[in-house]
Amino acid sequence: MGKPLKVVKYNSQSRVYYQLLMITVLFMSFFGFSLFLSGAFNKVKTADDKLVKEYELTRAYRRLYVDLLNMETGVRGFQLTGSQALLEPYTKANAKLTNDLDLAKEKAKETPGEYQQIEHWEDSIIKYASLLDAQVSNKNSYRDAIPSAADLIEQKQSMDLLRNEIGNRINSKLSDIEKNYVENNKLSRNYSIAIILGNVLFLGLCVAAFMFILRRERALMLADERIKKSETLYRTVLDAVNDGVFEYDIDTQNIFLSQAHQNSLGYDFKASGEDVENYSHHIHPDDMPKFAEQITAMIAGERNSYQTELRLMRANGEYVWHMSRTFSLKDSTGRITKIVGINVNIDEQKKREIELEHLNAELETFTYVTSHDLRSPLVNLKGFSKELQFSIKDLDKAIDNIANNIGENNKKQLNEIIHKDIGESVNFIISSVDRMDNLTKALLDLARIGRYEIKLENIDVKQLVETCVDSLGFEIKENNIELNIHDLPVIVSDKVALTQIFGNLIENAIKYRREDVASKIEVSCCTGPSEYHFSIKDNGRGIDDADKGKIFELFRRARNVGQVRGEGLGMAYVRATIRRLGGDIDFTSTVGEGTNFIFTIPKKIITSETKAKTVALVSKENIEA
Amino acid sequence: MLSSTATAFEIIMIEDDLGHARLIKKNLERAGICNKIQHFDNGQNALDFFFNEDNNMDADKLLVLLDLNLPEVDGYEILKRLKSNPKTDKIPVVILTTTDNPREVDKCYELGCNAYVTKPVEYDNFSEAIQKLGLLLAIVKLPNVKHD
Repeated sequence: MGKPLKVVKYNSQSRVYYQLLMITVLFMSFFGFSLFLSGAFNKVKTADDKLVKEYELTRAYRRLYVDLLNMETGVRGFQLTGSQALLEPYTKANAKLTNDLDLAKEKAKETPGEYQQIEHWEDSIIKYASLLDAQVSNKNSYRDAIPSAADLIEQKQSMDLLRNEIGNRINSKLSDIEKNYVENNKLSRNYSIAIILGNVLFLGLCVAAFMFILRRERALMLADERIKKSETLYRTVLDAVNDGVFEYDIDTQNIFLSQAHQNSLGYDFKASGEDVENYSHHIHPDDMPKFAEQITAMIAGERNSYQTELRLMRANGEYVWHMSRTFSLKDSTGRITKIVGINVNIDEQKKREIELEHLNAELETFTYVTSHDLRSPLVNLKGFSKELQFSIKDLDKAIDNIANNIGENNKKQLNEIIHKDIGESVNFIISSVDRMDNLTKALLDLARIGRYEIKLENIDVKQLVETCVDSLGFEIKENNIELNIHDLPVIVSDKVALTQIFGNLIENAIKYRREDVASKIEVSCCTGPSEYHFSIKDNGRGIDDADKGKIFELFRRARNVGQVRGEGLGMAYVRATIRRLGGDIDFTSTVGEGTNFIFTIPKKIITSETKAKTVALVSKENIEA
Repeated sequence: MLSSTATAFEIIMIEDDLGHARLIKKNLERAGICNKIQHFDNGQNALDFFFNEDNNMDADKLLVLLDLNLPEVDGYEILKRLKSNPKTDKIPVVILTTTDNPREVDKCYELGCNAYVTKPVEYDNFSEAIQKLGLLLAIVKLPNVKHD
């Protein structure tokens, strides 16, 4: 029953927590990967841009270089042949030169250090161009003009310088570009690999997360299903059992009452339950304080369960006795979340119990009071009968005094009336009163057993039996009775009661012995799981099967008691006393062989203090009333 | 004999059973107690006697024989009243009743009774008890009167 209620660890809170964590991990990894990708992309792009710029710059340099080469070639051809056609490369290149120079300058601007280089070259280029220009215009003016050797040397030096510097520059740039290109390629390849790897990884993560969530949901679904199943079973069982079940949810303050409970009380609260306020109205106001106290103690964790008898109100306002067994349920953290209880209808038993208590009390009061009130007229009966006997004596004397004056016949007649009629009647009255007195005394003794307040103490039974035997010592010695007391336990019981029980039983064993055999009495005990079995065994005259029922009855005796005097009270008294202690007595017997009386005394005497008090109180009230 | 020392006090017998009252009287007489015996068969009448302002009774010269079961006002109540009033608390009270229940005996002593005697049905015992009581009364009376 506790199981379905215990599945609180699958609560939605931890479920949300797990899923949130998963999403966060996914998101974080995605975000991190994106950051990495964009960083890598920027790196590749920057490297590419740089490479493009370098390449464009190199191309500009190369143009300049070609321009210069064309100009030299054109001028040389023109110088040698004077042909205008051969001068054309120079003219074209010369026309482009300024543009190409500007272009190179512009491209170089973006690359630090290059611009100074161009500016440095620009001077040499302009100088070289003017050199060539001078040669061309000179040749144009003078067909046969030959440039001077110094001019040629200067031209060659300028040209060599430019060609070397620019050419070297271009070469180094190209090899740089080539190197960078390889680097960039590597970088972009890595980038691609990273993207692929990342995607694969991410996809894997997604699949894993998906699988995880799927599995978890599946487990939850199964658990939910199980909970629902057992919850249904639980409710079905609750509704099916006749005993009322209630469940008090401390958090929601809701009270669930099983259908059977509602039916038996005549309510219909629907499944949603009741609140505490309403429920507590159903408990009898006299029973409420104790109930509330116990529930409070349970909520506070001072106790786990408790049991009480209380009255619950039915829909028609009638109160019904219930036995309420309540216990608390804790969640995984040890906090008490629910109080669950079973209310069993004990109305019949309880009412009978109360009725029985009243009856018992009344019976006791009745026996007690009548025993006294019966004795009161007996005192008169006996007293005045005795007075009558005194009067008879007085009458005798008076008759003797006048004996001579009355005839012999009259005297005889008077004597007959006085002694036979009156005297005999008085004697019968007196003996009947004696018997009546004994009976009322016996009733009184029996009535007192019920009112007797048991005082529990540790009793060494062996010692107690020895004391009983000592008080019968004369009888035992006189009749040569062999009395064996075996090992007897130390028990918790009432000393006075036990003394009376053993005393009576041993006395009976002595009283009803057989005269023709050596009497033997054995007192022993064997211990049961929850009680002691005491045995008093004799080899006496035994009890006839037909008398078996009589033995414990008031004023009745077995047939074979012979001349042994007795009122038929001892065994009734013994049984009442044993029952008062919560035990019982029985015997086995064979006529002419002996009797074995066995009585049990519980190890724990269950005479509830409260019950004894209630009975005493009720009977006392009755007496006083 | 005994009567010479005992004549000093008067016996107040509170007993609702007339037969008992008669038997007690007879037996006291047999025991030689010839004191005046005043009989009340009703608790209220007895109380009226003790607590009537006009009554000039001499509390020092009284002895009470008290039954417990009485109509109107019971013996316990009378005992309580007698023992809780300074005017009457010195009067010796002997409970004479059929009840020999230890609880009731204890209760009477708690309330301050001076002696508790059970009425035995056995007539010989009864008369013996009453006669012993007579002796007791004769002896007990003197120190009690001088007390305080």
